[in-house]
Amino acid sequence: MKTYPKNYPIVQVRNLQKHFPVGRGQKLHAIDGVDFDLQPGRTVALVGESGSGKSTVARCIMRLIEPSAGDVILHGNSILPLTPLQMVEKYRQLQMVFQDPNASLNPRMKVRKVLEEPLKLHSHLNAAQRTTRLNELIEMVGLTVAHLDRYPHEMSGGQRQRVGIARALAINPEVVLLDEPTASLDVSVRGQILALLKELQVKLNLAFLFISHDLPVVRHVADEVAVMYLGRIVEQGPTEDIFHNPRHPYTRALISAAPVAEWGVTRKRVRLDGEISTPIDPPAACRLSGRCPIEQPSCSTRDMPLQEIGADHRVACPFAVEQFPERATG
Amino acid sequence: MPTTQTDISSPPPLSVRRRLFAVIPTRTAAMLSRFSLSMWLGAGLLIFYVGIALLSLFWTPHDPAMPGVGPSYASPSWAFPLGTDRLGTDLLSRLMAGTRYDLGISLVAVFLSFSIGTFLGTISGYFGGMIDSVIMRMVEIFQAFPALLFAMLIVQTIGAGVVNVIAVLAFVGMPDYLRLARGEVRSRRDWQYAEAARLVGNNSWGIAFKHILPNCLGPLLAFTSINAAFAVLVIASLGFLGIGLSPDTPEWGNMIARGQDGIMTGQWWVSLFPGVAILGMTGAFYLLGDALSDLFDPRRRT
Repeated sequence: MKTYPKNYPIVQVRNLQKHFPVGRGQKLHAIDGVDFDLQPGRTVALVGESGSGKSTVARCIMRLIEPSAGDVILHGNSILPLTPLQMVEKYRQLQMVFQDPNASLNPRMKVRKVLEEPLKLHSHLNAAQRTTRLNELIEMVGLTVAHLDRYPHEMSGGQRQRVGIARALAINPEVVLLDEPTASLDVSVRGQILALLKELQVKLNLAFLFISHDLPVVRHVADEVAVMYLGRIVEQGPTEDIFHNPRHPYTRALISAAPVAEWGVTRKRVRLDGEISTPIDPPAACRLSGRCPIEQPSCSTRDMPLQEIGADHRVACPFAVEQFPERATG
Repeated sequence: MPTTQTDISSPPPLSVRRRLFAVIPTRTAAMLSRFSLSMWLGAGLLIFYVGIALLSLFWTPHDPAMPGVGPSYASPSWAFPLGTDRLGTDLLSRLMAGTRYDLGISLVAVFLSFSIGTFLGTISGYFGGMIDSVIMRMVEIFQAFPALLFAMLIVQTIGAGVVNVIAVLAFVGMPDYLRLARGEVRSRRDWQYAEAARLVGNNSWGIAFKHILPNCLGPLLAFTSINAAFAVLVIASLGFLGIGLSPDTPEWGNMIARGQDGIMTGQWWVSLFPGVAILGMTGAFYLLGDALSDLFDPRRRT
């Protein structure tokens, strides 16, 4: 395990954009300028409703799809100009866990083969060393050696996701992108998988990008939260800041919509009117304009960049601070 | 009022199948018990045909190529179980020898068209773009002709003979595999396990042939049966028309053609038995392929 100085950014995502052509010269803006850093041992969560571009960010970073603009920097070097062959090298440091373990495991491969493949293709281990590593790996994710000889369909959803995690960790990556790793799992299994991820992160000093729409889970695992809406980050900051003191009207609506598991706590719902607007050729305006409870005339005429309003806390709304003053902590 | 008591304490009697399996080792029994009835029937029939084909290499009741071993148009009897044809050759011997041709040619042709078609189809489906367009346009040109007509055309052009018939059949069957493989691969190209395969270090070839193709084999294997049955029919048709193999080759289609003069005058056996042989082989391929497509799907394994 390599050690890095404090706050060393392994991955820097800069102004990442992905526009899909949808015909007649129109473009769907799936991601429209996203910035964040991933640091060892820390978790950045990307939250937002479906269609906000969360998964597209992960797929762009892995270059499963090509970003339209912006940059992804790994250890100080951009990975976007790399050829597919060079990119394979980078997958030793950069790995991903997929949302649905049913779809991301080849139904014809036994677990042993699934986990052996990255070792064969990325390392020079011989057969005996690979077996040792396999046994180590399968136990690391809380399964037993017996599971190595099972097919994915012979295992439960939680066990399959453990295999997905083991596959990502097989070659000791430093960064793992988790694309809704618990979304397809039962609530009872969800906690176990989250605990496993946390344990592995501490043990291996992993940098996590945690993509989720499940706010209680995010609050539990993340160090930093970035809230996405229609391809943009509208608010970004330390987890407790975001949850305790949300400033952007969209964040406030999102957080107030999540259920609270505390007796006697009632919360004022912040409601947004109307539907999410179209991501196809959006105008230069705040993405929330038209639905926003604190909308001003200028909101629909210009872009709203992220502005620093506190320690590492950024909001894409110039009216948020005066409209929603900071709550006393405690 | 008397009450009838149902005895639920004793287990039901073991079925014959279960009792048969009881003497076989457990793992083998587990494998065999997955075989369906159509698997047993199809495989059984094919093994029978293969057996006959092998046997005919060493022994037939009479020399299949020798005319005049019996009288002309002898009806089935102990000496000639299936009778003789106009030239007095023994029909049983010819039928046995014919198995070699019909079975051998169709199997080799199916293997060739399966390999080539699947290979090209996988490339076409996975890489798409220009490669796909070029391959598909070629296939469309070939498929514009009805397969049987096309086969006849080529055989007429390049001449008769076993190798040529195999080549023609492989060529005519190939586009179906190509299309099937292309469609299957295409539909799975963007599946998550294909993306996951890239992240663990595979290149495009590895993803296409190691990860996607094995998941597409079910329908392709099922199609080999239809294709093999079709191949048998084409071989027989070419033989019947007298353009496939030389007319005195003991091939079933040739034999039917030779017997058609006799049908009107009452010598039904000359054409009937080769026809039954073709029917049986086609049926066997259909049954087997159907059962195989079920068996090769690991999600149905228990």
